[in-house]
Amino acid sequence: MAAARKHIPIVKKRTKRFNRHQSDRYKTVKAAWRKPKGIDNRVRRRFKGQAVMPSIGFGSNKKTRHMMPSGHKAFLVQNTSDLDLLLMHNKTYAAEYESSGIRIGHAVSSRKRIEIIAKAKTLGVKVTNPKGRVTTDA
Amino acid sequence: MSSNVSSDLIWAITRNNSSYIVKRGPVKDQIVFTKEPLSLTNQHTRKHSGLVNEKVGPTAITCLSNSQTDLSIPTGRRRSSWGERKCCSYVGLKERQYRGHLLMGDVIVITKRNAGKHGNKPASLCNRTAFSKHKSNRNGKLYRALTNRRDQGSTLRSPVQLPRGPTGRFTEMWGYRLFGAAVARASAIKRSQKPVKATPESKPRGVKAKKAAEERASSD
Repeated sequence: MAAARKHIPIVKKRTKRFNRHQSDRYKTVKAAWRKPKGIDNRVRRRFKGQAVMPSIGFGSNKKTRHMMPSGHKAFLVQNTSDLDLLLMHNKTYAAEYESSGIRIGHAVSSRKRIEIIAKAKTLGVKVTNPKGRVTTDA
Repeated sequence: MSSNVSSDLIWAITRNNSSYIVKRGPVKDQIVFTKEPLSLTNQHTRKHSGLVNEKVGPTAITCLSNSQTDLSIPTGRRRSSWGERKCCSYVGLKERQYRGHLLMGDVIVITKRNAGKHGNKPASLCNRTAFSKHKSNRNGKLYRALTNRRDQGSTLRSPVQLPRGPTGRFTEMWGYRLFGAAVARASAIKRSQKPVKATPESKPRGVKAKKAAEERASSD
Protein backbone atom coordinates (compact mmCIF):
# COMPACT_ATOMS: atom_id res chain seq x y z
CA MET A 1 0.00 0.00 0.00
CA ALA A 2 1.35 3.34 -0.96
CA ALA A 3 1.54 6.01 1.68
CA ALA A 4 -0.37 9.16 0.93
CA ARG A 5 1.29 12.11 -0.63
CA LYS A 6 2.70 14.64 1.77
CA HIS A 7 0.13 17.24 2.66
CA ILE A 8 -0.47 20.10 5.02
CA PRO A 9 -1.91 19.12 8.40
CA ILE A 10 -5.61 18.43 8.42
CA VAL A 11 -7.32 20.95 10.67
CA LYS A 12 -10.90 20.49 11.77
CA LYS A 13 -12.04 23.89 12.98
CA ARG A 14 -14.95 22.40 14.84
CA THR A 15 -15.75 18.80 15.63
CA LYS A 16 -18.83 19.37 17.78
CA ARG A 17 -22.26 19.21 16.25
CA PHE A 18 -24.42 22.24 15.69
CA ASN A 19 -27.57 21.60 17.63
CA ARG A 20 -30.78 23.33 16.82
CA HIS A 21 -31.76 26.19 19.07
CA GLN A 22 -33.88 25.04 22.03
CA SER A 23 -33.51 21.38 21.13
CA ASP A 24 -32.18 20.95 24.67
CA ARG A 25 -35.38 22.39 26.07
CA TYR A 26 -38.17 20.60 24.27
CA LYS A 27 -38.19 16.99 23.27
CA THR A 28 -40.31 17.77 20.23
CA VAL A 29 -37.54 19.99 18.93
CA LYS A 30 -34.95 17.64 17.50
CA ALA A 31 -31.25 18.40 17.41
CA ALA A 32 -30.96 18.50 13.61
CA TRP A 33 -29.88 21.98 12.65
CA ARG A 34 -32.49 24.48 11.50
CA LYS A 35 -31.59 28.07 11.07
CA PRO A 36 -33.57 30.29 13.41
CA LYS A 37 -35.70 32.72 11.48
CA GLY A 38 -37.62 34.59 14.19
CA ILE A 39 -37.53 38.35 14.31
CA ASP A 40 -36.43 38.45 17.94
CA ASN A 41 -34.34 35.30 17.98
CA ARG A 42 -31.21 35.78 20.03
CA VAL A 43 -29.29 33.01 18.35
CA ARG A 44 -29.98 34.50 14.95
CA ARG A 45 -28.89 37.91 16.26
CA ARG A 46 -25.68 36.35 17.61
CA PHE A 47 -26.04 37.51 21.18
CA LYS A 48 -23.29 36.81 23.65
CA GLY A 49 -23.48 33.37 25.23
CA GLN A 50 -25.77 31.93 22.60
CA ALA A 51 -25.19 28.89 20.44
CA VAL A 52 -23.02 29.45 17.38
CA MET A 53 -24.55 28.97 13.99
CA PRO A 54 -22.91 27.02 11.20
CA SER A 55 -21.16 29.19 8.69
CA ILE A 56 -18.77 28.89 5.82
CA GLY A 57 -15.92 29.89 8.09
CA PHE A 58 -16.00 26.47 9.71
CA GLY A 59 -15.17 24.82 6.42
CA SER A 60 -11.99 22.84 5.98
CA ASN A 61 -9.04 23.95 3.93
CA LYS A 62 -9.68 23.07 0.33
CA LYS A 63 -6.45 21.15 0.17
CA THR A 64 -7.44 18.79 2.92
CA ARG A 65 -11.17 18.64 2.34
CA HIS A 66 -12.60 15.11 2.13
CA MET A 67 -9.26 13.80 3.26
CA MET A 68 -9.11 10.84 5.59
CA PRO A 69 -6.66 10.98 8.49
CA SER A 70 -4.31 8.87 6.39
CA GLY A 71 -4.21 11.61 3.76
CA HIS A 72 -6.13 9.67 1.14
CA LYS A 73 -9.38 10.58 -0.49
CA ALA A 74 -12.09 7.97 -0.74
CA PHE A 75 -12.96 6.51 -4.11
CA LEU A 76 -15.76 4.00 -4.36
CA VAL A 77 -14.90 0.85 -6.26
CA GLN A 78 -17.23 -1.87 -7.44
CA ASN A 79 -15.04 -3.97 -9.66
CA THR A 80 -11.45 -4.47 -10.62
CA SER A 81 -11.66 -2.28 -13.69
CA ASP A 82 -12.52 0.65 -11.44
CA LEU A 83 -9.19 0.06 -9.78
CA ASP A 84 -7.29 0.66 -12.98
CA LEU A 85 -8.27 4.29 -12.73
CA LEU A 86 -6.17 4.63 -9.62
CA LEU A 87 -3.00 3.26 -11.16
CA MET A 88 -1.53 6.72 -11.37
CA HIS A 89 -3.17 8.08 -8.28
CA ASN A 90 -2.09 5.89 -5.44
CA LYS A 91 0.66 8.04 -4.02
CA THR A 92 2.84 11.02 -4.67
CA TYR A 93 1.99 12.49 -8.00
CA ALA A 94 1.25 16.02 -8.99
CA ALA A 95 -2.36 15.45 -9.86
CA GLU A 96 -5.54 16.43 -8.19
CA TYR A 97 -6.60 13.07 -6.88
CA GLU A 98 -3.13 11.76 -6.43
CA SER A 99 -3.87 10.03 -3.20
CA SER A 100 -6.88 7.87 -3.13
CA GLY A 101 -8.01 5.25 -0.75
CA ILE A 102 -10.79 3.06 -1.95
CA ARG A 103 -13.92 1.79 -0.39
CA ILE A 104 -15.58 -1.28 -1.81
CA GLY A 105 -19.26 -0.89 -2.51
CA HIS A 106 -21.59 -2.53 0.00
CA ALA A 107 -23.21 -4.85 -2.49
CA VAL A 108 -20.00 -6.39 -3.80
CA SER A 109 -19.78 -10.10 -3.11
CA SER A 110 -17.00 -11.65 -1.08
CA ARG A 111 -15.57 -13.45 -4.09
CA LYS A 112 -15.14 -10.19 -5.95
CA ARG A 113 -13.88 -8.44 -2.86
CA ILE A 114 -11.01 -10.89 -2.70
CA GLU A 115 -10.19 -10.15 -6.32
CA ILE A 116 -10.38 -6.42 -5.74
CA ILE A 117 -8.17 -6.55 -2.69
CA ALA A 118 -5.56 -8.67 -4.44
CA LYS A 119 -5.44 -6.31 -7.32
CA ALA A 120 -5.31 -3.24 -5.13
CA LYS A 121 -2.24 -4.74 -3.58
CA THR A 122 -0.45 -5.04 -6.89
CA LEU A 123 -1.35 -1.47 -7.73
CA GLY A 124 -0.37 -0.20 -4.31
CA VAL A 125 -3.80 1.22 -3.65
CA LYS A 126 -5.04 1.46 -0.11
CA VAL A 127 -8.38 -0.17 0.64
CA THR A 128 -10.30 1.36 3.50
CA ASN A 129 -12.59 -1.57 4.16
CA PRO A 130 -10.58 -4.67 3.34
CA LYS A 131 -12.13 -6.80 6.03
CA GLY A 132 -15.74 -6.46 4.98
CA ARG A 133 -17.28 -9.85 4.10
CA VAL A 134 -13.88 -11.36 3.49
CA THR A 135 -13.13 -12.42 7.04
CA THR A 136 -16.52 -13.70 8.06
CA ASP A 137 -15.13 -16.84 9.68
CA ALA A 138 -13.09 -14.90 12.22
CA MET B 1 -9.81 11.62 -34.93
CA SER B 2 -11.38 12.24 -38.25
CA SER B 3 -9.67 14.82 -40.35
CA ASN B 4 -12.84 16.76 -40.98
CA VAL B 5 -14.04 16.99 -37.41
CA SER B 6 -12.11 19.21 -35.08
CA SER B 7 -10.94 17.85 -31.78
CA ASP B 8 -12.54 20.82 -30.04
CA LEU B 9 -15.89 19.72 -31.33
CA ILE B 10 -15.34 16.17 -30.19
CA TRP B 11 -14.33 17.38 -26.77
CA ALA B 12 -17.41 19.57 -26.56
CA ILE B 13 -19.55 16.56 -27.34
CA THR B 14 -17.83 14.04 -25.12
CA ARG B 15 -17.01 16.30 -22.20
CA ASN B 16 -20.28 15.83 -20.45
CA ASN B 17 -21.53 12.67 -22.00
CA SER B 18 -19.36 9.67 -22.58
CA SER B 19 -19.43 6.08 -21.47
CA TYR B 20 -15.84 6.43 -20.32
CA ILE B 21 -16.58 8.98 -17.62
CA VAL B 22 -16.47 7.80 -14.04
CA LYS B 23 -17.79 10.20 -11.44
CA ARG B 24 -17.55 9.77 -7.71
CA GLY B 25 -18.36 11.82 -4.67
CA PRO B 26 -20.57 14.83 -4.03
CA VAL B 27 -21.38 16.98 -7.02
CA LYS B 28 -19.56 19.94 -5.55
CA ASP B 29 -16.23 18.23 -5.17
CA GLN B 30 -16.67 15.46 -7.63
CA ILE B 31 -13.84 13.23 -8.73
CA VAL B 32 -14.06 12.76 -12.47
CA PHE B 33 -11.98 10.04 -14.02
CA THR B 34 -12.08 8.56 -17.46
CA LYS B 35 -11.65 4.99 -18.57
CA GLU B 36 -10.40 6.03 -21.96
CA PRO B 37 -7.78 3.58 -23.13
CA LEU B 38 -5.51 6.28 -24.46
CA SER B 39 -5.66 8.45 -21.40
CA LEU B 40 -2.39 8.47 -19.54
CA THR B 41 -3.52 9.72 -16.18
CA ASN B 42 -7.19 8.72 -16.33
CA GLN B 43 -8.16 12.29 -15.60
CA HIS B 44 -11.12 13.51 -17.58
CA THR B 45 -9.61 16.64 -19.03
CA ARG B 46 -9.04 18.04 -22.45
CA LYS B 47 -5.31 17.77 -22.08
CA HIS B 48 -5.29 14.15 -20.99
CA SER B 49 -7.98 12.89 -23.28
CA GLY B 50 -6.67 10.31 -25.70
CA LEU B 51 -9.86 10.22 -27.68
CA VAL B 52 -9.95 13.88 -28.49
CA ASN B 53 -6.37 14.89 -28.97
CA GLU B 54 -4.90 14.25 -32.35
CA LYS B 55 -1.41 13.88 -31.10
CA VAL B 56 -1.50 11.24 -28.50
CA GLY B 57 1.94 10.21 -27.53
CA PRO B 58 3.05 7.03 -25.91
CA THR B 59 0.32 5.60 -23.82
CA ALA B 60 1.67 2.78 -21.80
CA ILE B 61 -0.91 0.16 -21.32
CA THR B 62 -0.68 -3.29 -19.98
CA CYS B 63 -2.75 -5.82 -18.35
CA LEU B 64 -3.72 -5.12 -14.85
CA SER B 65 -6.34 -7.76 -14.68
CA ASN B 66 -5.85 -10.87 -12.64
CA SER B 67 -8.46 -12.84 -14.40
CA GLN B 68 -7.24 -16.08 -15.84
CA THR B 69 -9.82 -16.22 -18.53
CA ASP B 70 -8.68 -16.30 -22.05
CA LEU B 71 -8.72 -13.05 -23.88
CA SER B 72 -10.78 -12.73 -26.93
CA ILE B 73 -8.02 -11.20 -28.91
CA PRO B 74 -8.83 -10.41 -32.42
CA THR B 75 -6.30 -12.02 -34.69
CA GLY B 76 -5.49 -11.78 -38.32
CA ARG B 77 -8.08 -10.01 -40.29
CA ARG B 78 -10.43 -9.55 -37.46
CA ARG B 79 -7.91 -7.28 -35.89
CA SER B 80 -8.80 -4.69 -38.46
CA SER B 81 -11.27 -3.07 -36.14
CA TRP B 82 -8.46 -2.00 -33.87
CA GLY B 83 -9.77 1.36 -32.85
CA GLU B 84 -10.93 2.81 -29.63
CA ARG B 85 -13.06 -0.20 -28.95
CA LYS B 86 -10.18 -2.56 -29.35
CA CYS B 87 -7.90 -0.28 -27.40
CA CYS B 88 -10.44 -0.60 -24.71
CA SER B 89 -10.23 -4.32 -24.70
CA TYR B 90 -6.50 -4.04 -24.54
CA VAL B 91 -6.58 -2.18 -21.28
CA GLY B 92 -7.51 -5.32 -19.56
CA LEU B 93 -4.93 -7.44 -21.24
CA LYS B 94 -2.84 -9.73 -19.20
CA GLU B 95 -0.63 -10.78 -21.96
CA ARG B 96 0.52 -9.29 -25.13
CA GLN B 97 0.07 -10.71 -28.49
CA TYR B 98 3.11 -11.50 -30.52
CA ARG B 99 2.70 -13.49 -33.70
CA GLY B 100 -0.36 -15.03 -32.26
CA HIS B 101 1.30 -15.88 -28.97
CA LEU B 102 0.53 -14.19 -25.76
CA LEU B 103 3.36 -13.14 -23.57
CA MET B 104 2.89 -12.41 -19.95
CA GLY B 105 2.50 -8.93 -18.58
CA ASP B 106 4.45 -6.69 -20.88
CA VAL B 107 4.08 -3.01 -21.25
CA ILE B 108 2.15 -2.17 -24.35
CA VAL B 109 2.77 1.27 -25.72
CA ILE B 110 0.14 2.80 -27.90
CA THR B 111 0.62 5.86 -30.03
CA LYS B 112 -1.82 7.57 -32.26
CA ARG B 113 -0.74 8.11 -35.80
CA ASN B 114 -1.36 11.00 -38.08
CA ALA B 115 -5.00 11.79 -37.55
CA GLY B 116 -5.25 13.58 -40.86
CA LYS B 117 -4.22 10.44 -42.70
CA HIS B 118 -5.66 7.74 -40.52
CA GLY B 119 -8.48 9.54 -38.74
CA ASN B 120 -11.15 7.69 -40.63
CA LYS B 121 -9.42 4.36 -40.36
CA PRO B 122 -9.53 3.20 -36.79
CA ALA B 123 -7.68 0.05 -37.74
CA SER B 124 -4.52 1.87 -38.61
CA LEU B 125 -4.97 4.80 -36.26
CA CYS B 126 -2.99 3.37 -33.40
CA ASN B 127 0.50 2.01 -33.30
CA ARG B 128 1.16 -0.43 -30.58
CA THR B 129 4.44 -1.83 -29.45
CA ALA B 130 5.01 -4.28 -26.68
CA PHE B 131 7.99 -3.97 -24.42
CA SER B 132 9.15 -6.99 -22.58
CA LYS B 133 8.72 -6.87 -18.90
CA HIS B 134 12.27 -8.08 -18.71
CA LYS B 135 13.51 -4.92 -20.32
CA SER B 136 15.85 -3.28 -17.91
CA ASN B 137 14.95 -0.05 -16.25
CA ARG B 138 18.60 0.77 -15.99
CA ASN B 139 19.55 3.74 -18.12
CA GLY B 140 15.86 4.20 -18.69
CA LYS B 141 15.73 1.89 -21.67
CA LEU B 142 12.00 1.59 -21.63
CA TYR B 143 11.69 5.28 -21.10
CA ARG B 144 14.02 6.07 -23.92
CA ALA B 145 11.95 3.83 -26.11
CA LEU B 146 8.85 5.56 -24.87
CA THR B 147 10.13 8.94 -25.81
CA ASN B 148 11.88 8.12 -29.03
CA ARG B 149 9.15 7.04 -31.33
CA ARG B 150 9.94 8.74 -34.59
CA ASP B 151 10.02 5.46 -36.38
CA GLN B 152 6.43 4.79 -35.52
CA GLY B 153 5.11 7.27 -38.01
CA SER B 154 3.81 9.38 -35.21
CA THR B 155 3.27 13.05 -35.78
CA LEU B 156 4.77 13.78 -32.42
CA ARG B 157 7.91 15.74 -32.11
CA SER B 158 9.85 13.53 -29.84
CA PRO B 159 13.28 14.00 -28.38
CA VAL B 160 16.01 11.61 -29.34
CA GLN B 161 17.62 11.71 -25.98
CA LEU B 162 16.26 10.77 -22.65
CA PRO B 163 14.07 13.64 -21.59
CA ARG B 164 15.68 14.89 -18.46
CA GLY B 165 15.05 18.46 -17.47
CA PRO B 166 17.40 20.74 -15.60
CA THR B 167 16.35 19.21 -12.32
CA GLY B 168 17.23 15.75 -13.52
CA ARG B 169 13.60 14.73 -13.53
CA PHE B 170 11.48 13.78 -16.47
CA THR B 171 9.78 16.91 -17.61
CA GLU B 172 7.15 17.87 -20.05
CA MET B 173 9.24 20.38 -21.87
CA TRP B 174 10.44 17.97 -24.50
CA GLY B 175 8.20 17.66 -27.50
CA TYR B 176 5.09 15.94 -26.35
CA ARG B 177 3.71 17.63 -23.28
CA LEU B 178 2.71 14.41 -21.61
CA PHE B 179 5.98 12.53 -21.78
CA GLY B 180 6.28 12.98 -18.05
CA ALA B 181 2.95 11.29 -17.59
CA ALA B 182 3.84 8.54 -20.05
CA VAL B 183 7.00 7.76 -18.18
CA ALA B 184 5.15 7.86 -14.88
CA ARG B 185 2.53 5.49 -16.16
CA ALA B 186 5.08 3.07 -17.53
CA SER B 187 6.79 3.13 -14.15
CA ALA B 188 3.52 2.55 -12.36
CA ILE B 189 2.80 -0.43 -14.59
CA LYS B 190 6.24 -1.86 -14.03
CA ARG B 191 5.81 -1.40 -10.32
CA SER B 192 2.46 -3.14 -10.41
CA GLN B 193 4.02 -6.14 -12.10
CA LYS B 194 6.39 -6.80 -9.28
CA PRO B 195 5.51 -9.66 -6.97
CA VAL B 196 3.42 -8.55 -4.05
CA LYS B 197 4.94 -8.73 -0.62
CA ALA B 198 2.93 -10.67 1.91
CA THR B 199 1.39 -8.57 4.61
CA PRO B 200 3.24 -9.02 7.88
CA GLU B 201 1.29 -10.67 10.64
CA SER B 202 -0.18 -8.27 13.11
CA LYS B 203 1.51 -8.12 16.48
CA PRO B 204 -1.20 -7.73 19.07
CA ARG B 205 -0.52 -5.54 22.07
CA GLY B 206 -2.04 -5.24 25.53
CA VAL B 207 -5.00 -7.45 26.35
CA LYS B 208 -5.05 -9.08 22.96
CA ALA B 209 -1.37 -9.98 23.26
CA LYS B 210 -2.03 -11.66 26.60
CA LYS B 211 -4.92 -13.60 25.16
CA ALA B 212 -2.86 -14.71 22.20
CA ALA B 213 -0.06 -15.82 24.52
CA GLU B 214 -2.50 -17.79 26.66
CA GLU B 215 -3.95 -19.49 23.63
CA ARG B 216 -0.52 -20.40 22.42
CA ALA B 217 0.36 -21.80 25.83
CA SER B 218 -2.84 -23.82 26.05
CA SER B 219 -2.40 -25.25 22.58
CA ASP B 220 1.11 -26.36 23.48
